[in-house]
Amino acid sequence: MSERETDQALVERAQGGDNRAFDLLVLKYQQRIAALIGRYLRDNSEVMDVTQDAFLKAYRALPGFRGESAFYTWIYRIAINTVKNHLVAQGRRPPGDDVEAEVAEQMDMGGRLRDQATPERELLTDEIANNVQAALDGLPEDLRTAIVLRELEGMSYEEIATAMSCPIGTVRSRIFRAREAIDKRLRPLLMS
Amino acid sequence: MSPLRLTALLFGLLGSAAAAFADEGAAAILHRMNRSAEHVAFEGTLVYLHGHDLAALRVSHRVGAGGSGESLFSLTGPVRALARHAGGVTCMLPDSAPLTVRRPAAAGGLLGGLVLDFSALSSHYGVARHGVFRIAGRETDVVSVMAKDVYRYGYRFYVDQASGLPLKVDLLAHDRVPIQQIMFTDIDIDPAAAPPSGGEPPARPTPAPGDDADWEPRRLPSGFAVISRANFERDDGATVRQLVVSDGLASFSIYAEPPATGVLRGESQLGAVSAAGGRIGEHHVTVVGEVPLATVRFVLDGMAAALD
Amino acid sequence: MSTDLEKQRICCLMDGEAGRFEAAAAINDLLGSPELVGSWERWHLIRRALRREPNDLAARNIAGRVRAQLTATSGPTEPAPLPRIPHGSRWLSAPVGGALAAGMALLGLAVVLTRPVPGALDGDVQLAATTERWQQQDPAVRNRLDRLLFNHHEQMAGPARSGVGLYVAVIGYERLP
Repeated sequence: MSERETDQALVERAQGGDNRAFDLLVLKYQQRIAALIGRYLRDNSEVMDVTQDAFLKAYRALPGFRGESAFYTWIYRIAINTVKNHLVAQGRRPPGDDVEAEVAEQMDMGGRLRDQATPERELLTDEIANNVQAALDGLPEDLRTAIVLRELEGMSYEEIATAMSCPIGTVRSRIFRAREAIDKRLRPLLMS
Repeated sequence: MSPLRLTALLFGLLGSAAAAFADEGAAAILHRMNRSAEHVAFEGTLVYLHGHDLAALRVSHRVGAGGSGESLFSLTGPVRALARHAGGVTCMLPDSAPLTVRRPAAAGGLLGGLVLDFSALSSHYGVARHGVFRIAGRETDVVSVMAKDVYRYGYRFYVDQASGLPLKVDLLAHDRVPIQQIMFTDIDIDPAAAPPSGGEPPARPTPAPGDDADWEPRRLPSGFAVISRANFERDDGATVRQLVVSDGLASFSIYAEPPATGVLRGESQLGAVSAAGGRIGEHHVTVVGEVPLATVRFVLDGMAAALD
Repeated sequence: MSTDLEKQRICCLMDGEAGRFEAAAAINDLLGSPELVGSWERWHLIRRALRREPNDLAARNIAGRVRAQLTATSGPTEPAPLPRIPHGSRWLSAPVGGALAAGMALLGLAVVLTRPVPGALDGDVQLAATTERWQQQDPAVRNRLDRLLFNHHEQMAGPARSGVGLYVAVIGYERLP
């Protein structure tokens, strides 16, 4: 089941009344939508407010979502409209250079939509990034290779299995263990 | 065309007879495959090759508290679909009205409950293990069950190491040439539905002798025996009598009914399924099952000869 | 305490590598375990970090804020019962075209189509005559043989056992033009 199909499955559960499924979608996309909205707004608390508002709008519109587009494309449009309306309401002129949603979806195929971070937010990101990089560097070779091929090269498990000459089950295990190891290193920072 | 049926049958008896296999590893694999046929839910796409014709089907098997069921849907050629449900089987074929066959109340899951003497079975089949092969991206153990005469097919099973499901089944002629092959190209298996641990199937009582001795077979190919009897009603109210015959792996049914229109006179095949029909005394008899044509012909000829 | 198996399943889910059944199981696990939800959120954050995409610590609170807002405005919601095998999203609702759908509807029969129905089925479906089934010209003979075969299969398999193998030839049999 592709990522898009997984999102759709969560949407359907949310449409069926399970808000926990919608919560999983928010957890998955909150960073991306916040980064997207951060391209339009400088004030971080304003970014968070508008991001929250975008997700609430999406929740209310959820019964009408039929899955014709990917969930991210849909929430992307809602987020752009929300931030533009916000700017208009503030008497500010919204920029017109946002990436079209369809293009965003295409770029999103490998999960590679690059958000443009402001210097301020880059500073906030640094600590997480440094910890993740340090954890990555400390991984055993086989785990590091598996997670890099997956996350940076966008390879499927089958492709990674071929590249590493091992069964798919081993790839699954390696990627899981790599994530767990990085998570373990990162957890104290995120919990604090 | 039921390689998997045979598979399942095979395993019904393996429950008690695994030790009789020359290859203990093969026995364990087949035993697990038998249990998986009942307890593992899956869905996937398979290809079916018979002769020079290739077809693709989408299939699913559901298991749950609400009952089991499954569906098959052709992805190539004329649209054909079949669903098995609690009440029986409903089928849509291109050249006839929808067909529903109710499952008789006494229908029994003979594949799961059959207990035979494997030492007798092993005189007609040879079992061997052939290593590991990859099917649908998954590792499988390959086990062959080869027929020793022309009255039954041989089988080569590619059994998924993770679930026990057969992902590829080759049906083999006596000379080991494949007659048909069924192979999953992708399959999604419910990881929560692992087959339960062993346990022997309950012994099946020997069927009582029939009362229609005039049409019952006087001879059967070596190794085959009557394992079940049933009666059911035809649309016009006439009674159709059925004998289920098996050697522990292969099986066929002998049906006897009052003569009517639309019955088979002569021989016929559907893939690896063979049928033969003709008038035997006061009855019209049809023999049908996934066995070679030689087998159904042998049975019907034997019944006719007994009346001469 | 979540098991490694459950976590590995979540891992596959976020990579789009879980099969349908596995994905359903993973989602069920996620919905029932705050611990797994924590992993879900952090693993996505790690993904972004590995890809040099920005993470904002403040944005980690968005979900909690949305959750609180939804609870405040609508009260706690009763989750819908989780089907063991969830609907196949668009798969199950995909229209089955032509005579097949009509026939199945008449039978009151739901054929579980588990993949998007191929486009060809959405148009006019020609139920072309396949006169060579059983090599019998008379449809009544073909029909009777099908009945006898089905009856035999059902006697052998019983209600619980998979009959997929039994019926592959019945549904798969076709002669190419």
